Amino acid sequence: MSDVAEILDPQIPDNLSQRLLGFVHQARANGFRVGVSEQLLVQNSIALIDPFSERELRSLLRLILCSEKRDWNRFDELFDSYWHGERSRRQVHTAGGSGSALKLATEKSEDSDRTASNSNQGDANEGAGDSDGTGEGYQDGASRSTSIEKVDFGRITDPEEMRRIELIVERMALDMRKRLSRRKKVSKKQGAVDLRRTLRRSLATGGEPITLLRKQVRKRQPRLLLILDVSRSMSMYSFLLLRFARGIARCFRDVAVFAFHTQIVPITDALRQTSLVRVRNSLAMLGSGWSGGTRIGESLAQFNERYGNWVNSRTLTCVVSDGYDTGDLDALQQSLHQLKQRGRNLLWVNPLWKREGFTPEAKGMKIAMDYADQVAGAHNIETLRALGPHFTRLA
Amino acid sequence: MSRQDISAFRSELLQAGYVADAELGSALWLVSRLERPLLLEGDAGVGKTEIAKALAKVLGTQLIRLQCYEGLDVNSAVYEWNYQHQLLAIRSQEGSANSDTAIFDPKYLLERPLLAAIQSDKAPVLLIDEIDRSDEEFEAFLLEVLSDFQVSIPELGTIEAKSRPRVILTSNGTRQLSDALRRRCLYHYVDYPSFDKELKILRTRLPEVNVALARQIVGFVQDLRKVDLVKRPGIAETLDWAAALLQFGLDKLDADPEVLRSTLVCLLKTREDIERLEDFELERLVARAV
Repeated sequence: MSDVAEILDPQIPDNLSQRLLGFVHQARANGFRVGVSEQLLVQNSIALIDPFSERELRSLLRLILCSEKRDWNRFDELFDSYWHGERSRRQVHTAGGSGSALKLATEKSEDSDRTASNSNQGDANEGAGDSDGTGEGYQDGASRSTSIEKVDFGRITDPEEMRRIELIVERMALDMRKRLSRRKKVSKKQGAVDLRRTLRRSLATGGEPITLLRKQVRKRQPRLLLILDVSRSMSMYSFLLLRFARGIARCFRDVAVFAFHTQIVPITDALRQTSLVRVRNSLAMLGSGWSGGTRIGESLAQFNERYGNWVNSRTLTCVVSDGYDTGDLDALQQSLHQLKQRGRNLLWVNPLWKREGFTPEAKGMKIAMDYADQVAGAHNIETLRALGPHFTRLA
Repeated sequence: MSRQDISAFRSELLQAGYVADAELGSALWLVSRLERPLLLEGDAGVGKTEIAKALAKVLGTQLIRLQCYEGLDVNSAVYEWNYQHQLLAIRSQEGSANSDTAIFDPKYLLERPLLAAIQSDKAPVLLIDEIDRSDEEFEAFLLEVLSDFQVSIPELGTIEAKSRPRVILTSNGTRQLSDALRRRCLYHYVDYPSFDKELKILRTRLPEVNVALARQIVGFVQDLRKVDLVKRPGIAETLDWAAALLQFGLDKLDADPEVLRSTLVCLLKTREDIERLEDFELERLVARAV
């Protein structure tokens, strides 16, 4: 970063700009989206304020370095620990580069090394596991992110690790949208007249618009229907899958999410709430029977009865369940048949599918395999990521 | 030096009818100097749009507003050719000798908000409202405009900005914005106001409400926001409600429960919320506020 330091305003004292640089690095290591241009902006705009007034410095840095609410909420903690935490040598760092919750850790040594930028180098390099290396500000490290890919969701006990995975999972859902909406197709039906191009063409015929050019209709995003099994046998996976569903619910416009154990409950609105705490509260209100027994057949029948109209020929239905059913198997068969008739395609996600040594023993699962266009697994990040291509193919 | 600037700026905002806290005041002050767009996020009804209006008032400049919606495209955001006039022009030139007059001339161009914003002589405030509602394609296009402040029209060439507009984007967070857009912008999160701030807003906007009632109103709304509602009331709702209470001539919240209940339509905008707020809950909130 020395090249940046060279083109700084010479009026700013050296140690201040060093400290600022250190802070910017610190922010980046904590998952703030900060690139070189933000760094330059900080250095160039510092002259606008009184850098020795803490309040002004804080609001300037907050304004430039934050880019979403999560950053906004944890900025103060980061700021305080950097500018005030010198004595106690407390450092803020997170395990994941994409920035999970803040964690304060006490640093042991480095007493001899007082310059902030140096002590932060190590931190910046630690910011691994970055799910989207788009910004030039991100530091990438491969080893960590590959190992996390294969961890079975059911075997995670460390809450820190869980939070990291939750974030990755939600981000992945957001990326899925790009995948689906990028697909374009020339429509055979002709659309509205494109006045602009028609007029252009009409110049050749002396202003008489003889050939009408039309706008081609772009293929729309498919309608997505997600039905999640939240019964006890799924409890290891259901919260993560809810996070995944939340990501999908937030970025797709035409999507509906339902959860079921013994009956079906719409949860799209609950998932769309901005704060995760409120999501959790609303989901908790779904109440009794959560993580209880499963009646897939009856629940799906209930779905068809109450919300079936919502499913149309553009709908990709995705049922997430392990197929362990304590209810009526005929009902399952019938309701799957109906779902299949109404919608475009049926994707069945069984979290255990790709797990080692798994064989589909459950009767419900065997029926599901007859009807599903595709069966996929979702027990770790790797398999969850592989869902993307399935979605694209079926949509 | 800058501290006085900022506090002067804040009092100007106050005169324009906007109560800004220190943080937002200095943010806006910096925005008018750093020439970067400002992204405002926050729940609906916390006064994001008002910020842009107040800023335009303080800077003594025009406010150009672009309301985003799904399907918003370049034709309605930047420019459109005036096809009718172009057709007429072609017709009128038929048979005449000088038929080489171009029909792709600026005089056949219809300005839409983005083009208008970079064409005006005095830098306007450009408000891009609810950017999260627009499509991703439009967001990408907007990035180009916001970084270079120029618009290319194939038939005319590139139009450079005469002045750099101050850009304010607002988002309700209904979908994730792209990282690229976020990084281009300065960021401020607008939260629900504190008791003192909301009281100040109410007193500024509706000076005819007496102090005691104003305190009760604000206290009530602040508590109401803590109840688990589908749509939490924003500042606009508080102001509406205060105006309604004024119309009914209530000088205390506990004066007439019947009337109070009927005015709640100003605060609660969904059927579930109105049903959820049962009588005893309402009484509890009133008792706390009074």
